[in-house]
Amino acid sequence: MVVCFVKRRMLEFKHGILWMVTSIVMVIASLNKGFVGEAASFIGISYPPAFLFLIGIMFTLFILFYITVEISKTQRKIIRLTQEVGIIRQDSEEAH
Amino acid sequence: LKILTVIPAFNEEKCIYEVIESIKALNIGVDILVVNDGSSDGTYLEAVRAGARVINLPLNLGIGGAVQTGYIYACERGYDIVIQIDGDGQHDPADISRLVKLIEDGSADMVIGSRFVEDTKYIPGSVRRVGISFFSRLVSRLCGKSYYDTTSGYRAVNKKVIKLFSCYYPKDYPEVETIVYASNRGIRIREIPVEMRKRQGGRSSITPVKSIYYMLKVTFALLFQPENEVIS
Repeated sequence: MVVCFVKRRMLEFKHGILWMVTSIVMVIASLNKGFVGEAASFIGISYPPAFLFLIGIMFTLFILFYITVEISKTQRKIIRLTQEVGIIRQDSEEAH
Repeated sequence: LKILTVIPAFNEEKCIYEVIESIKALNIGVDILVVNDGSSDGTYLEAVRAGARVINLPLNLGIGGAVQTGYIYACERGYDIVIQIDGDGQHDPADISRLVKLIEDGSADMVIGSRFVEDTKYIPGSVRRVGISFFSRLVSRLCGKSYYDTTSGYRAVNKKVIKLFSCYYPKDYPEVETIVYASNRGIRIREIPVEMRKRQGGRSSITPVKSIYYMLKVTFALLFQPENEVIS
């Protein structure tokens, strides 16, 4: 589905790749019972599926944080553009 | 010297005409620019009627974005001094020449028209007073110099500061933060007493609910200042 959105250019590759990496990691981890079990016990989690949740939540939090940073950046750009539009409009009015 | 008066205005149709008129009546040869921050009332028409230049922002940016528009405009047009004055009539334009004088003779880069340097007639409400004295102390400590009225939006600045502010200006509640930001960059700031009137119309943009957010945001902004130049 992510590929589909990126293909239609409705989702930037930059953002799509995050979701793709997340899902690939999650799928591989889910299929590797042995690996999950070992990794879970290595960091002291007694219930292996909880390790999967941990990975999922970590990825999600990372993406959310990344998105809020992107929004702030976009907001700054919008402000700058709005200011520029205002100034240009004043310029053109004055020229008339 | 080319001097520009910047008046940020958001729904100030009741006062803006009079503010502009009284600046013009001073006859000190300053250009007047109103930055209309997406007002939904007749601010634009009133400002034009009074004979000011008006920048109409297509969206409401908030006070910081509006004021910065004025600084960008001044920077592009090569103004030497910018005077920033509120559009609600609480600042008396008669003080403009005193603000400008300190810039002109080079004794400061930025002059703030303050309500509290000496006893003026302005008496704020109790909640407001707590906030004002809190910021006054915090800013004084951070800058190593006493500042009294950190929230005043009545200022005059020289070319150096115009350039600085057109590159970075805080988005909302900018007054307090700009003092620390400018001071950290070697800008010499002076405060002089001015008379403040009760606003003649319109409401304060700060409601009780927002004031907690205001305190938090500004305190955070002061404690965590950007180290390098911020380019936006």
